[in-house]
Amino acid sequence: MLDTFAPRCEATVSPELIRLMRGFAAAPAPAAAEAPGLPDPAAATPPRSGPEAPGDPDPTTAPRWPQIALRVDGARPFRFRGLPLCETEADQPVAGAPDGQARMVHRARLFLSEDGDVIAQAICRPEGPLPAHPVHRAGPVFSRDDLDLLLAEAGPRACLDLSAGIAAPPLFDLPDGPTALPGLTLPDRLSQKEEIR
Amino acid sequence: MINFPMPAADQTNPAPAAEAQSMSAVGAYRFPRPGQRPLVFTGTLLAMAMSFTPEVPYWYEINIFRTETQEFALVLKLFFQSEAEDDYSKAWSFESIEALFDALETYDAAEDIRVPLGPTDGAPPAELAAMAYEMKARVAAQRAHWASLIGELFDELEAAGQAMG
Repeated sequence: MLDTFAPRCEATVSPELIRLMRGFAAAPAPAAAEAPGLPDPAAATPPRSGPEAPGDPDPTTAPRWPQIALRVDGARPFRFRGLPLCETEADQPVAGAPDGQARMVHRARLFLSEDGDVIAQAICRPEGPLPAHPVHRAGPVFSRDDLDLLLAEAGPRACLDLSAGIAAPPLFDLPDGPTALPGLTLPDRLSQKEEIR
Repeated sequence: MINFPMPAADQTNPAPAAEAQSMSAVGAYRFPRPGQRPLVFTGTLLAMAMSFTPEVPYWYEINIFRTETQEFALVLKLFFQSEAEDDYSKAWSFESIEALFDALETYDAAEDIRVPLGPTDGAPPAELAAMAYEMKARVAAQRAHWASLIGELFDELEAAGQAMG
């Protein structure tokens, strides 16, 4: 759904630049994958902690968790090895916007990193005639406050370009974003994480 | 208005493959720089990104070049929808692509905000406070706008790298 938007930013990269970047890398970078969708629970088998059980595969040859690269505003992608835990998405109209078709789409995803940390990604993408730009945030969260801050940073108000003449308080009746969505509370997700581990 | 010799960047909605192919063409470029001599080089366009949104009164365009001297040039252009505003460009040269990417990440787009000069002597405190809040909002908006564009560029780099295997 997110990919159906008309882009507000566009970028084009030549193959020469990719080759150059690979040449400059000190070590060959593993093929980074765009964050995959939710895994098949039967297929996702996170490594266990503690002593290895008999019959465990050799840790030196066991396949590592997939590398994930999450888009982040203003910086290179946030990279880590891990598995997706959950994701939620909401598509909400912007009441009071000049065009009734304007919408804000929110997306939030949680991952479990190979190191045992919870990684969160929050996206807010405007759709329709709005003076706004997409916002992407990602990083480790260690508490509910961390997650709340990340979600707030990718909230709909962060998308709006106030230089376009939208006064504060905003004229638009903006939705609250992913924090208002059911089932996206950090305690819930941390519980899931503990269950998985 | 600034006139840039940007054959690849001036194409309108070219097919991605055709655009990528056109990037490899060697061209001669000359970019004016405020307070400095123009950046002149011969090279190829490696990447470009732009942030045009009709509802926002300005947009950025970023171009990355590799020069024949094996350096990397970063050209930033700021365009305004209003004809009353003058577009302008900045350009830098770097010895490595990593240094160029570092510069993209650390660039402060607040530098590009034009401060209207007006009489402030005798202005009531409330008016000064309002001006300060407006400036603060503009700084935040400009930085967020830039950050969104840079994120798009790095994301496209990531996607292009994956596509190449």
